[in-house]
Amino acid sequence: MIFHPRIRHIADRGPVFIGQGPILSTFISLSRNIDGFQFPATASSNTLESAAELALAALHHEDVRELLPNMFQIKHELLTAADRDLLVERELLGRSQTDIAPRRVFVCAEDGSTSILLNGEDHLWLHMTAAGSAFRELWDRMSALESALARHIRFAFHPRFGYLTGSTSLVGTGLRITFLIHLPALGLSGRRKKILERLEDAGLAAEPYFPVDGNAAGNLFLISNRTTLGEREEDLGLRMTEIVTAISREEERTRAEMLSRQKLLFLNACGRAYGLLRNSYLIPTSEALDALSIMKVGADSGVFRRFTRQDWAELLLECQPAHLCCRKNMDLSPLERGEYRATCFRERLDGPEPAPAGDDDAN
Amino acid sequence: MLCQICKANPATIHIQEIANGESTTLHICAECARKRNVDSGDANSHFHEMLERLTQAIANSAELKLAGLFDTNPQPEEEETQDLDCTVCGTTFKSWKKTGRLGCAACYEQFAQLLIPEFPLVHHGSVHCGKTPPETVEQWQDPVVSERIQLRRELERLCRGLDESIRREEFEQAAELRDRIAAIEAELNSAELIPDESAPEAPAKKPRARGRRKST
Repeated sequence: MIFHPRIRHIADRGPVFIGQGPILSTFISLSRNIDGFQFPATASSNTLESAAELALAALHHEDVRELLPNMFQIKHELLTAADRDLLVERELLGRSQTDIAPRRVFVCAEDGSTSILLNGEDHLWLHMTAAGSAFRELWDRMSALESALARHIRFAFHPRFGYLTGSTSLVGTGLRITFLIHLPALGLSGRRKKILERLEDAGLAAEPYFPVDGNAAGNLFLISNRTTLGEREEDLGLRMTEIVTAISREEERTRAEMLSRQKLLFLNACGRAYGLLRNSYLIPTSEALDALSIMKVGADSGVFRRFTRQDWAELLLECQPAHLCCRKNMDLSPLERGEYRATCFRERLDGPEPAPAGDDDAN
Repeated sequence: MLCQICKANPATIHIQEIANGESTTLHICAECARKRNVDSGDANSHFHEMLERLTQAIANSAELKLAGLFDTNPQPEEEETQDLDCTVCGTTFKSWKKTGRLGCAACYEQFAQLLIPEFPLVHHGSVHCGKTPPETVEQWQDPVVSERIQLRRELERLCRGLDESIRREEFEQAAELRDRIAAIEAELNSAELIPDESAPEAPAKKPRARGRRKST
């Protein structure tokens, strides 16, 4: 068995990447170090062990535990590579945190809403995810958890620089806010690149969620802040929410325009994407993601009779490598994954759906 | 060598011209070169003008990276800024310049004057605003954890002492230290505060216990 039972349990949970429209989900993370201990990169194994114990003791306090329902903890070294990949696909672990390092501990609320990594780049990395644009809700939860922990741990803090972190790109608030956004229409219109490049002026950055040869497979992008010093957490979150909402509206406007002008082409694309996923016997990730991208626009626009956003979000997770291995309960080569992915799509999309719902009133 | 034109100033510019397959070399001074270029509209004039401007620009701009190419002084500009290293973790300011990472809270304190002008380049200024920690937090509330932290600090001190004793070939003292280290390690290992997969309340779906391995 290549998956830890706890992680397998997480994989059975529903997806969080469902949003009303282009903004699929929001992730926020908070980095903190414990006062009096060297940061993990330079700390001795004894210091790391002490930091982990101190953090765990705080996490097990009654007032903290009630914010982390049915929390569990696993030493990082006991997680297999597949476990860690699955956590990354679930957005419970950062892509740069999959390396095995001594005294790293992964802590997670059973519902998967909150995950914590001890002794990653910093002593504590608190991470929360929610569907749609949800900064306010997430920050309220995160701030409550941080405040509860701060009653038991003295965090490394400097009166001028704020919370001190291993990387100076996080110093200050230690807060990283990320929005997952789906921008296919802006991509087709050719304006996406310019819009995303301009984010730099606002201290934000956009990167492909699934980078394939420098492109964003599935038209999915992560937009996150690059500055953490000199701006209050709420101000940053609200500013980002405004910017991301504006991009989302522009995407929706472009979609509506394309739909009204080229409805036949749009229905054709949706039908073909559905056909591709339903009838393939071997399908690589990037091809599946691009087809799913069109299906999402179809689901958002009510083109399909039965295929919903929820179905889409589930498929998006299921078609990824670690989820496929978890479902099959064995290691799969890329070719085997392609085959099994196609099988999963055929099973899930098996049903009379070829005629788009909008077809009746298309003309 | 004197200038072949005015025969007064030293020749500093040497122009090689190839005409009809024959090569001739002209050794002239800067003044005559300027005149000659203006008068004849020599093709070289643009090159010399450009080179002059470039040299001038480099002389004027200490920041210009190209400076190193023309600089005869082996010490690059950057070397002149004094490097600092943190007295706690040994991280240097130069390594931060390369990696953007610091090793401990003391780094921020010790490099503060150097960091203050750098932060506004990548952040909104250099002064934190936002959440702050509560005024007083007792770090060592948990007596068990607190004791273990003290033990580990003692352990590290003893390990350093052991290395030193071995280096000095004081084997009796080394043996004594080794025994004390072993005793502390045994005490630390007698309790596992980070179990592989602890859940204080029994989880709904109890997974099978995996092999436990004590860390040392």
